[in-house]
Amino acid sequence: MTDEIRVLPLAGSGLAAESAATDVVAVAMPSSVGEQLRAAREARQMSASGIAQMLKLSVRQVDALEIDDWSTLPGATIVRGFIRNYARLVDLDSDALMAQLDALRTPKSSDLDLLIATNNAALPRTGGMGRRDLAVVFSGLMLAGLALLAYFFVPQEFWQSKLAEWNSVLAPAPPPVLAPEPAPATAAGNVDPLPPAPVSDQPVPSGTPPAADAGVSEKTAPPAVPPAPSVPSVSAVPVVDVKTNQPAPAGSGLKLIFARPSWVEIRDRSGQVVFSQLNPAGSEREIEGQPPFALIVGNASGVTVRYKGKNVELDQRSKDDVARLNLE
Amino acid sequence: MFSFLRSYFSNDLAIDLGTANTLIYVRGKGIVLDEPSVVAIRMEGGPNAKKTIQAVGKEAKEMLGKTPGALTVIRPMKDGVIADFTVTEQMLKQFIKKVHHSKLLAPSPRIIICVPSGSTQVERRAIRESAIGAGASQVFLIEEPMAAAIGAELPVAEATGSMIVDIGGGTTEVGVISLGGMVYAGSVRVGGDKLDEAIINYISRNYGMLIGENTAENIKKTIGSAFPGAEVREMEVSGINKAEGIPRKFTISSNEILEALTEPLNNIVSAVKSALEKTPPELGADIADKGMVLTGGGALLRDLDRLFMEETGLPVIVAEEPLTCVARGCGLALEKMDSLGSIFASD
Repeated sequence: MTDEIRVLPLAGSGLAAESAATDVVAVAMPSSVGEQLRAAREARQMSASGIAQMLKLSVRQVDALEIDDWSTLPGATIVRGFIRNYARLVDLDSDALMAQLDALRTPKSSDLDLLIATNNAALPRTGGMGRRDLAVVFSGLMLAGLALLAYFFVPQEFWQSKLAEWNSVLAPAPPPVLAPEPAPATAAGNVDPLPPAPVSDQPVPSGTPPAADAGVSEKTAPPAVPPAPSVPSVSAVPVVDVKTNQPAPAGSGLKLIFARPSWVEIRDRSGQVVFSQLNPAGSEREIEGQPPFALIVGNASGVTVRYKGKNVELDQRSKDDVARLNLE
Repeated sequence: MFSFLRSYFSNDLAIDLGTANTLIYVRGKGIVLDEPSVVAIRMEGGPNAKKTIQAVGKEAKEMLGKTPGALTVIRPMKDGVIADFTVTEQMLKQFIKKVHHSKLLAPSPRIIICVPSGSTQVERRAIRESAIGAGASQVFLIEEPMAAAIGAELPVAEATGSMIVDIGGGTTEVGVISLGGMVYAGSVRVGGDKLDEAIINYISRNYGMLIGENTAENIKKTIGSAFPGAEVREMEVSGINKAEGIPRKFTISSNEILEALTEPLNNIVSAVKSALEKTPPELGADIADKGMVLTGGGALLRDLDRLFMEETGLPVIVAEEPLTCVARGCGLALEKMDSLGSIFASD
């Protein structure tokens, strides 16, 4: 019997046709998995094509299983499955075969690692927010945050003083441009503007009478005088303005005296706010700027307004103790 | 507020929340829990009337069909999805508590849960919400065929087609996988439960006897088969005679059970055939070479692989330890969760 067991794996031929052979083959044969399968099949007198037909494999695959050529088969997991099916068909102990396969199998790294390796470069997302968009949004938010911080933490007086500074830079700028023209006029007196007016008008009359001799021109000259007053009346507007503007560089003449705390807002000629703040009781303020002024005075009963040396009546102009008035 | 801290002290979990069984895999430890998805709820009367959970898992399953009025045994999962949201949440909470030994902080793990590939958006959201309700800090979903294929050690990442048939308690999932993704996924709501139901109906119709779910499952496991074999087995079964209303014993053979199971098994076979029809030809060639792999508890039905072989003409392999394939697959995905994006399912 022992001879027979030794012969079986070596010969690998159909020696085990005896009825008891299958059990002996299953338990005692220390040969390779494929050889055990083939021996068991031959012991049962089955053909490779018959096994292939039963297991729905190709004959090539059955042959590969029997000669342990697993490289042509689809992979370790599948091979183990095929061997289990084969073993069950020929009544071999599949657990023993699996244990034998386990000993042969080299530990394989997980198949999932292949997926990780391909995860290197990510394509940019379409439609979503790009990095640049985010940068824009963040910088916008930061600016807004800074503005808020500046608004809340920098004292209000700072902005007031800055505003006044800018106003003083901007506001006096126009007078030097306007001043040179009226300045000689004021210097020459109110009568003097008359002569330049005819001079400026002269080209027009000189153009209308084409054939005028010297005598005619002398006669026409007096009638030219009557229109003259109308010309100065037009040009008188800037002259009057200049007069009112004149004290501006030396102060507007507007003074506020607070007997009680009061909030005051004052706009000048250009509509810009020149003064806007809450004033404590007992304080006084001189206002600089270009008249006319538009004033809003809170708690008007506790405020005295002096304009050009005169007290301005607030009581008649105030409603609910808030006075709104314009000073020319 | 302290969820970040709690998740730091919690182990990540992979859960196979099945209709019949729930398995939990803990990162770095393996499968630590395998219990039936059954909950026993006691309704208390009196001034402080309330519902309390009496038992979960194995203990609760033993109570199935034997409970007094105040006790109800519920299987909160049906057809692979949640049938009772609150009870599922509580069951998950109990199971998570069982595998977490930290007493200091309530567990707040990251969880991977598998879902049937045919489940709807609403069903997936219900599963996600119940896991969050049970204390999860983050929930990732993975489709069952993908998890089963990973668990069965199929070459999912390679450019070769692999076909997996996962026969669970509530659903049968068929998937064709290549390059880390599902090329085809099909799902039929026929599984172990439908097989049990078919046995109950058959016995009721032909023997006039009523049997319970546990008995039907026992018959299926003992003498059930999917393909006529050389050997005919018999089993003695107890039930209640419908005409007399008295408990009786009778004997049933494996051929009769085979007849009872024909209809639900045909549904599964047609799902498999439909998957094969819709598989792209290149992958079909790979499948003709490798065959399909059966996983899930249903794969343990005797000669089921023979049935598939004869019906499709393809080689069929039953995976090693088919019951735990999905949980192991989820677990492998869990181990590499941080670097794998493509295998997870979206809502």
